[in-house]
Amino acid sequence: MLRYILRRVLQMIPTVFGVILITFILFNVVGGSPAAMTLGRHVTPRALEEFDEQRGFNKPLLMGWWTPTRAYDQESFIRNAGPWRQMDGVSFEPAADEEQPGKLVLEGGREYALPLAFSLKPATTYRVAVEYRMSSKAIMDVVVAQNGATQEVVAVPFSKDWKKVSAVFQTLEKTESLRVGLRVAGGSVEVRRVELRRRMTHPFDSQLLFYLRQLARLDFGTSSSLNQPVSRLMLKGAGPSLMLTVPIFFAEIMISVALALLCAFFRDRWIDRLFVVVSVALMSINYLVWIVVGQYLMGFKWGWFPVWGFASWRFLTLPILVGVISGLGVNVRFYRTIMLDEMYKDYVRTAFAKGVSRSGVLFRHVLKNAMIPIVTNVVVAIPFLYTGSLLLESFFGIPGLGYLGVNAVNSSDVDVVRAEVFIGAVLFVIANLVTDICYAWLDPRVKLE
Amino acid sequence: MISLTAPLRWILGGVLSFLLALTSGCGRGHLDESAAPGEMVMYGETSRIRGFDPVKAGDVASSLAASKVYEGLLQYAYLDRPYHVEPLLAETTPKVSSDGLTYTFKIRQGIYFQDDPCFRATQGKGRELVAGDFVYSICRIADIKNAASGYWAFNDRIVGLDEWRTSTGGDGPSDYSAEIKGLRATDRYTLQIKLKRPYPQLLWILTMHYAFAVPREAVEYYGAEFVNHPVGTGPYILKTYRQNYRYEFARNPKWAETGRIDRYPETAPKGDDPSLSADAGKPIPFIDRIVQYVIDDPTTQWLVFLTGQIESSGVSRDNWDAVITPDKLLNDDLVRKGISMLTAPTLDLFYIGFNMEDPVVGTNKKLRQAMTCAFDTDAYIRYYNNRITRPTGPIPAGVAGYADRPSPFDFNLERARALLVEAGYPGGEDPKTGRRLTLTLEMGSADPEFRQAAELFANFMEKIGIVIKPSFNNWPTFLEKMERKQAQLFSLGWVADYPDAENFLQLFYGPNSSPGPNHANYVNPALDKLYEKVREMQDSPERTALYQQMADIVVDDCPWIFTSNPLAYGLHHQWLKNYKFHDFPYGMVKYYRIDVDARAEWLKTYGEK
Repeated sequence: MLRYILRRVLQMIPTVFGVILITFILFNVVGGSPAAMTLGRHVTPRALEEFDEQRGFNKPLLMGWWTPTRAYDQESFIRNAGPWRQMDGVSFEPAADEEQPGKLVLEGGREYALPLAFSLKPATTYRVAVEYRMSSKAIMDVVVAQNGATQEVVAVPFSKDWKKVSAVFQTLEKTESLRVGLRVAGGSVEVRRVELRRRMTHPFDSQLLFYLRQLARLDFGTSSSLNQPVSRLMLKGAGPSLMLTVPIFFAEIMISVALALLCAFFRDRWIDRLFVVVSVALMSINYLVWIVVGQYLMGFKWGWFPVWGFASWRFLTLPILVGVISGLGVNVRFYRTIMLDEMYKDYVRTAFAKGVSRSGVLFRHVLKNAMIPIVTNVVVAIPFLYTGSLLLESFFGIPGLGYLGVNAVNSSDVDVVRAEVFIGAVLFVIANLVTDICYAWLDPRVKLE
Repeated sequence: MISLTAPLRWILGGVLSFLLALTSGCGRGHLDESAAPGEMVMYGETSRIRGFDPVKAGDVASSLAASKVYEGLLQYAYLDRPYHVEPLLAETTPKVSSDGLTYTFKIRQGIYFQDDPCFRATQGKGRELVAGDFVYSICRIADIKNAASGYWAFNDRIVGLDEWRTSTGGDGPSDYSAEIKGLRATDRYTLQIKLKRPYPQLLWILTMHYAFAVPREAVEYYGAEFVNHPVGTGPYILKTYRQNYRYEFARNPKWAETGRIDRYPETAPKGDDPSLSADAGKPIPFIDRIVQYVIDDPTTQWLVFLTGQIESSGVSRDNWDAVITPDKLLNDDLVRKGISMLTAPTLDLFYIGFNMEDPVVGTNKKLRQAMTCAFDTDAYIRYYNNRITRPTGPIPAGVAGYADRPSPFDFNLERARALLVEAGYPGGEDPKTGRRLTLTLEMGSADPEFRQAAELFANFMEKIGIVIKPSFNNWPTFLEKMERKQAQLFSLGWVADYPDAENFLQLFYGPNSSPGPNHANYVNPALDKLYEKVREMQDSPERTALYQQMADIVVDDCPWIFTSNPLAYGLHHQWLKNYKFHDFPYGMVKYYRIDVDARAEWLKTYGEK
């Protein structure tokens, strides 16, 4: 048994790593940087870059030597010339068709300075890459000048077809002025792409590494809407969530098993049929309807329970009631089926033949064997206890993890949602393991492979 | 007959007792509140508060909460109009050097922070406020690690502050003891600020929560929890709070203990209601406790207001017809209950912006002017139940620079069609493709309100032949599109930070293009030059004339279609006294009073449901 458990735990590790990778890709790639949302209306490109730097967003995604910078981000000219549009000598030609993006036409006899949004980091290596095409007799150089002195000139090879050239330069410790320019002479040059990249100190310093380091410290980031560390928020929210879901969980088990037993006891009599009909009716009514009707009738109209809030345990009664009733239908039907399945087995007939009473058969034989599928069903539901019921918490104002999750989704609070997904996935993996162990322990027929 | 055997009895008994336990949790369907006899308590509703740290407070609800507990050097004079500032923690308005670059503030002596365990040096007793606290607070805004949304107010303004900010960017802790040339406490009670260039808006900025005095001891003691544990000098302290649910503020006992007396304004402007002067000169605050609930659901909010459990409420669009009669008066039923309605113009401006970098609309002035002329003002105002006025320019009514004259591009379909021909799209048809011109309008939400507004606009443009395709986003996606200049048309608004037209004109300043607030990416070198001139000028007739000149340039170029200037509608119960609408009501709850007896009477008649 122990070896089985150990083996299963080891198998969990790649699964959890897979979860880490998926949450990373989902939230870092799709979610992106919350810089603009956190910094408000009066934001500047420099402030966005500083924010990204703090949170590790200005690194390459998985690995790499070069990373983009917000100092210059108009890489291609699909719809317009962007920051180049007000420059003398620059004209923009929009895309001729779907294949070719638009391009800039730089006329000869000028130097065009790359329009940087803010000054670059000192003592850092950068690379500027240009995809260009020249008309005959055109000459182009990439010129880098710092503090008034020309530092570097890279001659761009002549090419009538689209060609890419890059120039690497390093900023000084104290840079008062920096100019990265394209000096064009003799003819015009068409430019299709301009890229500016910053060099990382080592290639593995990536967003993924940043995320892994955070997880290792159990640091789930900072909530952009609540301005607190996410781990702290999760701990605070766990209490109310469990206070809501654990009573629902136990109450539901007890009541549904009890009612299912009742149905099995009075098999095919009017009580059994009545419960089947009632279960189906309960099942068919939407969860939301229970919540709204419960709040309105029992909370507001008849004033039996408080409608909203979390001041004392009384405020939990209505959501628990609603939670139990809405889940009852499904469970009663399911457990009833299981018990009836058991009732039709041979050993039950034998027991009856032996003269065991109805209740004796039910409680001493059937219940025990029916517990196996019931336990399986129940243990799988345990990880969802921690997320709390999102709907119940939102409508009843219980400040648990479900409420936190819903608010985070609505305010695009990436760190909180990612943490909830991650923890939920890990708990699910653990619950699966526990289910298997429980199953093996309860059912002597199961052999551990 | 069912024979109740022992186990069965057991089960039924269990179920029954559980149900009984549930029903014993009886309660009324209302907010559980009680007040001590003689205690004045105010009940209100608030949106989610994201924290009480002035540095992290980016939204209205958090700023209002922070301004109950913290205070700044200056405040708005509550009753006076037009708005002007008066000293709060400063003794007087600052001494300004002749070149306008050095501001010297003398701090009031004898102001103490509230008692808190973080003040270990004084055994938990609040210590006295010193000028160094303001240096510390402003540095916190500048600290990169705090990701403050308020740094724009001090960016490139104070000598030495930007260099200090750069030094906070690394991994090591930020050095708050570093000397900053332009931000110094020259002695215990004197604060000196040296600016790089004249900054006439500085006094407005110093009323905002960014520069509220925050004690260093609290920030260091509470660390990550400081955002929920405010320690300030203000009229209230945070007594209890349940995140996203209920906040309770109590009168700050330190004021009485240290003999601090601040008073209700002595004089009120002539046109004001006489009831606003009833408490003239009396010591504030009047209210002992403030309880605020976070109620998301608008129906619940409304119910809670109607049953007298909170003092004020707004009017949502859904409630509008039930609450306000077609004559724009309050419905009789509510008037009978003593509820009053206050309306006031706001400094909010909503518009539909053109992305000037877009190749179709950005380069075609006639097209933009044509679309402006096709915007049916009356229909739009009717849609908003006459709760808005149509602005004629970028400067709203209420600030210097506003010109009360009609727009040169008033609603005129004929003219719109003519302009469209000049723009190169006769009848809305693009001659190159033969198809109708189709433009995309980005909206910041998919809520019904936004959908309807987009449909209405599409309807207006349909009349001149242009097809508008609304694109509904959630707010973060919308922000990202704005940041990356990916929109063609977009619907957005601007709420003034301070009552100066410069705050609106900066939305047309070239360097403020996206990701800055100039999301139309409007670049006009002539306007930029004028802007750089006016932002260093103090209020004067010359400056107002320049403001108007800039507004005229903007109106002619049409980077925006100005859609609405909303009116604020507030409903109040009769027992809320001393309330006067203010565009920047931060901290003004200290002037309000509750007539506790009147409320108790009312609750006896109308409160029971």
